[in-house]
Amino acid sequence: MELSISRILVVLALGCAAASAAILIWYLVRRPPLSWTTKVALLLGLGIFPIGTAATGNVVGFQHTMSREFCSGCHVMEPFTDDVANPASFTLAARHSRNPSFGDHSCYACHADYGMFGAVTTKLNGMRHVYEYWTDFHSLSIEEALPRIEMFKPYPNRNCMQCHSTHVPRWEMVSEHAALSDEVRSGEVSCASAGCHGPIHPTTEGVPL
Amino acid sequence: MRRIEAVRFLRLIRINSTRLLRLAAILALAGLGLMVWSLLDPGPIPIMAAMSVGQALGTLSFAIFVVVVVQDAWRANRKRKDKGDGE
Repeated sequence: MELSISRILVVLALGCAAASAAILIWYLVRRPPLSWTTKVALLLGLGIFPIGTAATGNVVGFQHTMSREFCSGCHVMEPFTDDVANPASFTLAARHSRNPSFGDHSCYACHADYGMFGAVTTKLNGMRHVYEYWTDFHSLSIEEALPRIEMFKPYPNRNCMQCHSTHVPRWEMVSEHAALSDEVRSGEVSCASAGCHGPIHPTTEGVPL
Repeated sequence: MRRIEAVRFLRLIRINSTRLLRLAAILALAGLGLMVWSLLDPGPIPIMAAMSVGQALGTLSFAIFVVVVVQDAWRANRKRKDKGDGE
């Protein structure tokens, strides 16, 4: 069993929750008077241990929200997550996901907003996705949902440029890059355009998959 | 007027401090349940429930505890003062 930081945090969080639950159940069953000892016990049971559970649980939760497994939790995402996990697929998304730097976090690595408040705006957009899923897409089959799935905003080139700076000779040697370098850098022309590097995910006649 | 309302509120808490602490314990257990659910089954719904409802319940239960303890300390202090005045 791999002893990752995430696993250690889960064990820590569960330990804090168990300690807190033991104290609270003791208080509910024994009903002791509000003495100094009871106050200290309740401080641990209602304050210290639950805060420990929430803090470590938050870290684990946020880490998990970056995983591909989390994204595939909504069934309409499965064609995309299945494709990137397919070692035989040659879509751009799948090829990037085979890179260990992306790996299990490939959805987040490419779709996260960058910048100072990137993590926050990504989570807010994620909440919007969850809202859309539960109000609309939840009841649809994958075949019904796929033609309707679209991004809230055009895919920003700056996400690609986190790794592909566009300022290396090999990039500038490509004639299309050289001709459109300013437009690509400013985001006027998308890297993910059909005919350039798009479509990123698998499609059938212009419709996803 | 505000002082009277505050005293009334504190009296209400004093009457029900044991019941309030029991409520806090139950709320905390419910919040902990949601947090543990998100750790054991980290899907979108459990994680969102833990980070919103779970933490709100936990915060509320701790707030109740703080109010009860502060009120208890205030009452003990007042009793001590009254004793001092009597002597």
